Amino acid sequence: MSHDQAVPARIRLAWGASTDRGRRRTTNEDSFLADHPLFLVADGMGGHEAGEVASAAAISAFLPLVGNPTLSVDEVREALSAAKSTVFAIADALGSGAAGTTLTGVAVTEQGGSPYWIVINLGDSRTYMLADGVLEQVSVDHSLVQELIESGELEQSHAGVDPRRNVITRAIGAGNQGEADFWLIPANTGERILICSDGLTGELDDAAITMVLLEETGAQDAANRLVHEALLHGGRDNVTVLVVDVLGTATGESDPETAKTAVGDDYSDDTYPREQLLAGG
Amino acid sequence: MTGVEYVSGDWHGVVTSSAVALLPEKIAPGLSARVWATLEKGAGFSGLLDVLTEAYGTSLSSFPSFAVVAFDGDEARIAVRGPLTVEVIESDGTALQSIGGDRVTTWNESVVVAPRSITLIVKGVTASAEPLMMSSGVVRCSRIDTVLADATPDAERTWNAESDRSPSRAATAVSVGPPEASIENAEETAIPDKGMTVPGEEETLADPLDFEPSTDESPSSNYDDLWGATIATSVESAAVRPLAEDDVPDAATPASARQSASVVSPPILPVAILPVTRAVAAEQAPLAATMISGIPAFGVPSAVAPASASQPHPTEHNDHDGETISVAQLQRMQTTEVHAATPVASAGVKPAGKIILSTGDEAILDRTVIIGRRPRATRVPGNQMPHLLAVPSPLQDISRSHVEIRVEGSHILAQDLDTTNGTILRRVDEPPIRLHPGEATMIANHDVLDLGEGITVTFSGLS
Repeated sequence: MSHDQAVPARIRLAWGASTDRGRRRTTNEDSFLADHPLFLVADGMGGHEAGEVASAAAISAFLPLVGNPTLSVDEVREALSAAKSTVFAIADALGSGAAGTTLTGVAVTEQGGSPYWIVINLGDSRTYMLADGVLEQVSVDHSLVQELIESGELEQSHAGVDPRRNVITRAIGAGNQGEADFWLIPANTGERILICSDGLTGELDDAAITMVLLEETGAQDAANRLVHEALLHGGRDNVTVLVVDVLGTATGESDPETAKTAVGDDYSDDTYPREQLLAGG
Repeated sequence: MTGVEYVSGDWHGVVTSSAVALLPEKIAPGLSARVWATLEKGAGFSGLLDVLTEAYGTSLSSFPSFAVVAFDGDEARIAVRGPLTVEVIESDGTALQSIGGDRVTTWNESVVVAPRSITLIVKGVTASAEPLMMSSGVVRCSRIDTVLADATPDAERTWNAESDRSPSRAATAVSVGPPEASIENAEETAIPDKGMTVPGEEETLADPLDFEPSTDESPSSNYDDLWGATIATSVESAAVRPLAEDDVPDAATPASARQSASVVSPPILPVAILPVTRAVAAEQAPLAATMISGIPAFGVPSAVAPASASQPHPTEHNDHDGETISVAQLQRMQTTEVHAATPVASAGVKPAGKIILSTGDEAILDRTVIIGRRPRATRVPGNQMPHLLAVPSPLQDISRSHVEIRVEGSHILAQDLDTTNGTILRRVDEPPIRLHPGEATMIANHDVLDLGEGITVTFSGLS
C-alpha cells in the first residue's frame, strides 16, 4: 500500500483556478494551490488580515510537495502538520487566536499501482467529484449545520438559510485542534474534481454548479464561469474555484492483477447483480 | 485618470472619475444613470454587477454586454462581456493587451498595473468621427479612450479601495463644465433633477465634480467591524466569520462543537462549553438559546485536556459511515469489550493476524482493510488510513468497495458495505451465511469471505 515515489504519475491532468474577493468584501481571504500533484483551497478567517495570512500560510506549507508525481498520505499529513504549526504561530504573532483557515482539496496518490486521489478536509470548503454527469460532494463539512443535519435536528433543505450555516466546527488554527478527514478515491479518466470555498456554494446550489461544469468543457473556463456565476448571484463572500480534469490514467504494469481490475472501470462503475450466492450454499 | 476622449456612436458610454463603462444601445430605462452613480461612488465592477443584476436578474441569457474599467490606485480592473474589446497600452508604451468579451459565457477579466492608456471599443464599428473630450457623465459613443497622463498613483496604495481614490481625482486635466455640457442624450444622463431613485444619489449627483468619496453605501461598510481600521472589537468578535447576509446576527467562531469536555483551547480564545453537541463560542449569543453568551467565565484552561474514559474521542462521532454495530449484534457476538464507537487505532496494537486473498495478495490486519473492485476510504483520520485492496471483477459482480475488515481490540470484524451481490461468510463446520449489509460480524480464525467471481478472503493467525 506504499506508493513508489520514483514511479511517474500514471495520471494526466488539466486544471483551472479562479478567485475573486466578491462584491461585498474588501479583502480576499481565500488562498489556493493548483499544481501537480496538489490542488487545495483555503478560506481564511479571523478578520483584520489574519484570515489572508492564515490561509496563505497553510497553503505555503504544501508548496514543497509540488512537482512530485504522486504523494503518500503521510507526506500530506506532514505538510498539514506544518501548516497547523505555521498558522498557530501566526495567530500568536498577531495576538489573535481567531486567525485560522479551512483547507480542502486533493492530492494525486497511488494505491496498488492505480492512480488515486487523497481528499483532505478541515472546515466548510468543499471538494466535489463530477463523474458520468453526476456531482458528488466528497468532503463533509465540519460545520454546525452539517452536524445538526446528521443528528436529524435540521433538514438538508434548510441548511442554506440557517443562520448558523457559517459556524464551522473544525479548522486549522482559530483556536481549534480538530483533525482533518481523509478520503482515498480511485481517479478515473473523464472525471472532474471541483474544489471551492463556501463563497461558491453559498451562492449556487449543486444543480447550478453541475450545469456549469457540464457546459464548460475547459477547466479554466469552468473555474472562471463558476466564480462569475457566484458574483452574479450575490458574491457575498470571497469565492475560489479549482477545476481539475482527469485526462487519462494508466495502471501499474508491475501489478497485473490490479491492472486487470481497472480495465473498463473508467466508464462504468456499476456493479451488476448476479444470482443469489446463497442458493448454492 | 485625466479625462477621456470618445467617438460618437450608439452605445452608452459612462464616465466617472474612477471608472469607465460601455453599455449597449438598448438598455433598461434609467440604467445608465444608475451605473454612473455606482461607478462614481467607487463601487467599481461590483457596483456595476449590482445595478445590472437588479435590472436583468442573474440569468446569463438576458444579461447585457458590457465593458468596464475601474481604477483602484494604480491598478485598473477590466471586465468585458459581449462584442466589445478593451485595449491596454502598458506603462512602457509598447505592450498592447487586448481583452475581448466574446467567446466566453460570462465575461473576461484582467487587472493591469499602471497602464498608460486604456481604450474601450465596440467591435466592428469604425470610429471615423472626431474624438471629443469629457470628464464625467454619460454619452452615446462607440469608443472611449482613457488617457492616464501619469501612471504613478498620487497616493500610496493601501488594501482599502475606499481610502485610495480621492487624490487622483482632482487631477482632471480636461476642463469641461458639469456633465450636462458634454452629454448628447440628455435623457440618459446622470443629472440630479431627473427624479431617479439611486441610493446615495443625492450626495453624489448634487455635485458630480465633488470628488469626496461617499462611503455610506460602500461595499465595505457591512464589514467595517471586521476589517476597518478601527479595531475596537474583542478577540472573540474578531474570530467571527461574518454571515453572508446583513440581517443575520453574527455567528460564532469555529469551536469544536462536539468535543465537550475534551476541548482544549488556547486561553486566548474563549470557548463557551456546552454539554453534548453545542460547544460554540459566540460574541452575542443571538443564534439560539442553545448558546451561552457569558464567554469570559467559560475560558477553558488548557489543563482541562484529556477526555475522561467515558468521553469518546472527538473525531469518532463524525467518522466511519457504517462503522456502527448494533447492540444486539454486539451481544450476539458476545463481546463485552468492543465499543462500536471506539475503533482502536493500529498504533501499538499487536497485529491481530492477516488475510490471504485468492489472488495471492495478503495484508496484515494492523488496521482496517477495504476490499473491492475499486475500493475507496471514506472520511477517516489521517493516521487511520485503511489498506485498500483491489480485486479483479471482470463481470463487475463485486462492488467498488465491497467488504470492510477492521480491527477492534483483539477482535476482527467484517462488514459488507451494502453491496449489490453481498458477501458470504464460510465458517468451518457451519453453513454459509450472508453478511448482513451494513452490520459488522465477528470473524474467527480460518473464516473465509466469498465476494463472488471466485474472490475469497481467508483469515489466518487470529487469536
